[in-house]
Amino acid sequence: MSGKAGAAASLPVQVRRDDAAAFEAALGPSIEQAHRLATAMLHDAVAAQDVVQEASIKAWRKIDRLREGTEMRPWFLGIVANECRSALRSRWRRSVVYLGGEVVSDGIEPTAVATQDTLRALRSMRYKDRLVLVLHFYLDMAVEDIARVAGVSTPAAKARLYRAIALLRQKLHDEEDEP
Amino acid sequence: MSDGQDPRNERLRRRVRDALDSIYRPAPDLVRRSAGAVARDRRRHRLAAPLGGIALTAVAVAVLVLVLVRHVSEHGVPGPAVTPQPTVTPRQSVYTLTAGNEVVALDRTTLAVRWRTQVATPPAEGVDAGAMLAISRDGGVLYVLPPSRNSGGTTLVLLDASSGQRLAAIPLSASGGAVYRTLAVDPQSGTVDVVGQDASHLLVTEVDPQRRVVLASHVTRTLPPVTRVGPDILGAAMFTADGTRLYYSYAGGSPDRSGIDWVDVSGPRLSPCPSTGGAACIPGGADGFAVANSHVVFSEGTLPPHLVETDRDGRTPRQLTTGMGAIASSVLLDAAATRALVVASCNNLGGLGSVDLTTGDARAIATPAPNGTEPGPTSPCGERAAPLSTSTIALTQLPGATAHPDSPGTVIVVDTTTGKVTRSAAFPAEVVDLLAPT
Repeated sequence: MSGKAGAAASLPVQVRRDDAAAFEAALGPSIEQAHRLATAMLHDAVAAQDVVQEASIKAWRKIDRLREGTEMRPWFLGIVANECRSALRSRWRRSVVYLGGEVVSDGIEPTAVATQDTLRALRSMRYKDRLVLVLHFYLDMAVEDIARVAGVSTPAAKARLYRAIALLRQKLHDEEDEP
Repeated sequence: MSDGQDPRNERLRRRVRDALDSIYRPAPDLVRRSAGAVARDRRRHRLAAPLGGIALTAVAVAVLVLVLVRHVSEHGVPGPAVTPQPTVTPRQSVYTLTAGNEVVALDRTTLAVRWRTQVATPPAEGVDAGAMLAISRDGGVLYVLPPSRNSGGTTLVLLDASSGQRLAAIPLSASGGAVYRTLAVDPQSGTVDVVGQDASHLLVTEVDPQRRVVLASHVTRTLPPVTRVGPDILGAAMFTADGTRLYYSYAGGSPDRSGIDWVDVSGPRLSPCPSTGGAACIPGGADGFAVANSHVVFSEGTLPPHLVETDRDGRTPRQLTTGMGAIASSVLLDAAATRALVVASCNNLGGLGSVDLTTGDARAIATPAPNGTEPGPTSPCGERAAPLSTSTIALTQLPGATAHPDSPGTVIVVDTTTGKVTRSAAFPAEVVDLLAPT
């Protein structure tokens, strides 16, 4: 009933929690992916960095309770994903409403139309659908790891991903799909 | 997914990546800044503990002197605290508490007895199974709440988890009257929260196991006047992983006083859940519950048996079938909190079921014994359950919900993939609780 033992990037049993070098060794390799994930979920570069730091604090508080052999990256990205969700719930206070009612995050100025359409489509999706799409398309994660990050079973993650892809394609009106 | 074979997915992938790359801003110093944030957080925690301790100590010293003088005058000089000498890793053990108030530590694999310690005199009556064992965060100290009667006990006993050596006995109710029946360890602070009741209230009392003192008692519910049915029986207590909320279950004298309450923990402040008309904050969860992430999963103790999953505040209930034919007595969740293992009581004739919390699919792993037969030592049934490994659990077998000190007891090990009993251990008294540290 416990999680599967991971292969690479698993934590040694004894971790000195006060050791900055230990933090960098354990979580450092995952920080860039965490940053990409947070950016993709929040569409806010500044908020994404805040989320990664907050997630790092929370992860480090829990790290000595981690089961030996647990894969670090999916575990940490799961914490980042949860922090993104919390940030999104309060995020409306920090959003800027431009003319036309478009809600765009601070500091982001997408230019190309296709880019804008894609970002808008992603923002319009439910959080958990957006999450699996980002993990699959942007972070190139396998379904098993997506399941761990999202906190669901592998079949559920696969089903959610299929539905999310279909929904995104529908929102973007993929022109290559038309006869 | 085989993106490589579906050109549409590959086009979609490029489009998503290009869009997200356009808003991504590399931050090469983010690792260093995150490490700095972690270091500052660690320093804050290290500073807060001694400052808080100094303040508490100043108040506690005078109280302790008065208590010690009274204790010495009544009982003589207490012995020195014994430094534990670990000989066995506690996580290789499973701990049991019998209705005779004996703690027995077993080898997790063979169920051979490692040590036994009598922690209190046996109660005169039977005791309903419940959560009366807990372990410290480092696995070194076992906390025991031996009942003096079915409604609970008044002392928290500390044992060395490796050897069973008695370390301390902490009186819980200086003024008398309150009895305590379940406990949980705060995963953040290490404080032991014991849950009990007096004539008019449910209480949560916080104990500092390091300094072996009661920190505070908080009234969490005012009870209606005692009815002819009897007092509330507290079942189990459980903290959320972040230590911000303590849930506890109880079976009251009437159905509308049975369920799960919680208190929100913020430093020294405990805030009880809001109750409507005296009902439990999460009604109906008195028989076995589990807490994971932001969800509560519990058995309603009804037939046909089903689980209920709610959010952390008991809202948006979702009913899930269990695939079993007997009332569930215990609910265990896997590490990802995506699958629930449900154990049925022996009295309702036992069984084992698995529920996928994501899809709601349920599967009976072992079905109940036929009506008219009695579950035996090969029947997967029990009142209290503890996971031993990814595919085995230990169960306390009881013919009813109550454990008796003068009836022999049994603990069984069940393979959760097959539902078969693979091992059993006999006890001179029926077993009230068991604990397998993870």
